[in-house]
Amino acid sequence: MVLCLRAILAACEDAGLDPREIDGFASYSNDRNDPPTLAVALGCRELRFSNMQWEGGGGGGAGAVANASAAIATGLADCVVVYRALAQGQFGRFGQGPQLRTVQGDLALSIPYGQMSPAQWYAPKAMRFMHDHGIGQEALRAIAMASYHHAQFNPRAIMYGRPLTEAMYDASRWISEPFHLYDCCQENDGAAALILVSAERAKDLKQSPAYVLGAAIGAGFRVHSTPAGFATPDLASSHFKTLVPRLYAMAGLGPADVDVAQAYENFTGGVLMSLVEHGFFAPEEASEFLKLENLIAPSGKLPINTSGGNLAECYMHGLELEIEAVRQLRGQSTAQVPDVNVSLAIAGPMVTPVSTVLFGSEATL
Amino acid sequence: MTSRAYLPAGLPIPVPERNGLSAPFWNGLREGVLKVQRNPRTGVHQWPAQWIAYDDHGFDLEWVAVEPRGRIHSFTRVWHPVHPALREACPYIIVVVELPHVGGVRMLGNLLGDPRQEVPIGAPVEAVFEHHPDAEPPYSLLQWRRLDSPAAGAR
Repeated sequence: MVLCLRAILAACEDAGLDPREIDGFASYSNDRNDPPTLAVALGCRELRFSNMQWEGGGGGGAGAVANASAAIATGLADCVVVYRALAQGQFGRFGQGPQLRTVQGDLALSIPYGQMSPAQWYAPKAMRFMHDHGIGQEALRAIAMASYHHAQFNPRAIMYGRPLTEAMYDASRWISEPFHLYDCCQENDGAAALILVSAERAKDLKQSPAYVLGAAIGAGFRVHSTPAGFATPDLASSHFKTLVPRLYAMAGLGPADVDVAQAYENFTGGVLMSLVEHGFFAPEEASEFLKLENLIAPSGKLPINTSGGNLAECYMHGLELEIEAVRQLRGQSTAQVPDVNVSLAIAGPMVTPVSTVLFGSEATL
Repeated sequence: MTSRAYLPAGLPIPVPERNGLSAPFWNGLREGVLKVQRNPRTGVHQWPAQWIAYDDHGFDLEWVAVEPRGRIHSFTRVWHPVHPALREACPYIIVVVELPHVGGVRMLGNLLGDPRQEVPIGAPVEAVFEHHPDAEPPYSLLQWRRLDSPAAGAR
């Protein structure tokens, strides 16, 4: 709760906005800090929107931004904070299997076989995709190295001063094939927050605004929640295929318009599939496209995860990626891409529901 | 009827939900029979268990025995244990098995045999019922063995 409150206050200070003006709250992944409690703690004058993106863990990060935007656009609320706070040490880590005596439902179909952590649940999806399209380990390595490369410019990053080399990646232990140690995100405590208001109100605030040009939430046909993910008909997918046409149509843009992308790395294999599904390259082009020089600021074809992302900046369940997408539009990134007008943030590949937001500068309106 | 377990004891024991939704599946495994749900009107198979047929929304799904074989759709070999019972058990192999003769439903299990074996995607496999009669409560797991090569190695 303290971390969450500090993040919200910091976001308000950054925006130049009185925290008591907040009248809406949007989060995801069953955040422990509920809006009524936060509204009381902050002395908010009124609570008008109390929202949780249901299911999908980190796949709800962009969804929470989308829900907040929808609330403002429809007049349900005027000033919505999107937030996520984690205190894994106190409440249990995602990367540890549950120590229960019995399990039932979907968990009973996977845990007794030793499939009980996210790396183990999502590995078969990436494995099948790489098999189908002849994609090698080097593609995953380049994604991991892009995050670590960018973290070297970011003093806030946990991996600042701890660069990753090809040799280190290749020598690192397997976690769950095809994921090496460096293909997996870490876990840490922390909190993050973004403030959303109408475009008109944003003009009066301290920072140059980032505009929400489009957003989409969801998944395709019969995509099962994580423990039964093996049963999903389209297994080898990050589950953005049905969202992406809606996303680009809403924004009136296409993949060629995207200047910089933040692509949620729970595991690098999910980044591989989500970049394909967002139209940046065909599966057959993946090995060619996913080379470090193409993925890094300032001049790569598609710089990704420019703060270091989940792998190397910090694990704020992907909300740090939404914030970095905004920084890129403001020209405030530590690995700034020049002249950014369209900034993409992808949330939670391989889960359901997943989500994406396209942010734009004033020039894109 | 005791079969050697692929993974060590101490992992959570699978039990049917209190509402009994998937009890026919778990009871079937104990009898060495693989059962999935089928829509009696359309013949469409479903797995995992649901209350309703997704194709015509009937609530009268039936449980049918199916031939316990399939092909490897994907897999992972786990090297990092995330449960105390698995500390000495790595590596082990988890396979996603597709059952083409059952409408392509997918099931999970471990691939028996050498945990360091090559795992060819598409390879045919047959089910092995791994019984735990002395567990409390007793249960059986669905495991898989390659049909196209003799199971090598210790496990």
